[in-house]
Amino acid sequence: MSFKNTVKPILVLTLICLAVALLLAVVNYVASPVIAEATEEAERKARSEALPGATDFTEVDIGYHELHETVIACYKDNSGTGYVFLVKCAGYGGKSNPITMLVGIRDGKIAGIKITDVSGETAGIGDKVKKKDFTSRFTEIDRNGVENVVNVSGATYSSTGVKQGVRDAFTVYWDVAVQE
Amino acid sequence: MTKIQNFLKGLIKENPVLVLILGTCPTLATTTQILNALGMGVAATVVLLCSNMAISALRNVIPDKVRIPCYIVLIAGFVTAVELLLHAFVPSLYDSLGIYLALIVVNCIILGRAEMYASKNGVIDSAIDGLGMGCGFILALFAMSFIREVFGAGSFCGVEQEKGLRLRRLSVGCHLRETLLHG
Repeated sequence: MSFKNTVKPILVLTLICLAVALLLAVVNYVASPVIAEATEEAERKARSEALPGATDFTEVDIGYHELHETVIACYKDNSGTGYVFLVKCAGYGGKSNPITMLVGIRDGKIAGIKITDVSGETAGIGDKVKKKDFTSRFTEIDRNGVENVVNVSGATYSSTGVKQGVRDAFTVYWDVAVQE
Repeated sequence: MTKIQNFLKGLIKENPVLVLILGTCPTLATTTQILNALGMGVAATVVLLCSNMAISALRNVIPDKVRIPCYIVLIAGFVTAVELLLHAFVPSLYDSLGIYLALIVVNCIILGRAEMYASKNGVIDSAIDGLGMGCGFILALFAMSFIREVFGAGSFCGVEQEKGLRLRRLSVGCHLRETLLHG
């Protein structure tokens, strides 16, 4: 067990690993507050798109309700009467790869929908639900009107998934949010 | 060879993608849009520069037996550092590169140059080689993405052009174009 053949390789490799880990610790220290702030800002912007006119939000505790798997979180507009719901609904990708979206509801009607994740949907077909062509059809629709929103042709699963998510958001809106 | 020749060889004569046939996977993946391709090129060049210099500096210290794991640790470290910095300061590029940023670790150009050059030459020469190879990579990426975006998507750097020839953007078409470029 000579130094050169056995100990030195292990030692050098270990030291290099430690040095690299130290480098990454420093970079992470510098970068992570910036990343956290940028992520928060991006989320806030997305919520503003779902609820036009709103700029600041406070998270509302909606407790453990029966739709907790779909309607993940709720944010109240600080300066108005609207709410934004973070919804994960099952589209073509099913429950394991849900569509993530923000549904803005104000005075019982949809103010806007911002879809943030359609990775479970078929590219070029299902992911068309993300576009304004489809999401704008929901504006000013109330709970009963969701049925009649026209689907994206060729993307039935994705469209009905989004509609179910919107219905779930309404349920939470009426049952929980407005009671506050 | 002179320092200038060392740099220039990476651009055409020994272009990593088109002559050495290294780093073809990220070339395929990121050249659907010019801006993404350039971003990938710059990120990979930064990593290549850092890793070539580090490996060259440590070339007499790293025992032959463990050289590959050592190189990988160093390269992965630099890639992660670049990833974190991009995520913090250039998030748009971070989002568009996605998983291909992490895959720079296994980009053959980086490990290839570490083995072929940095482990046998001085720090300054290795840095110049890294820079030259990186620029060659960027050139190849630009050529590829220019063809794919202008003829495939009909846009240039995201700006729509008049309806041009819509050649297939799929990987088969890309391979075909790559072989033509290699020739």
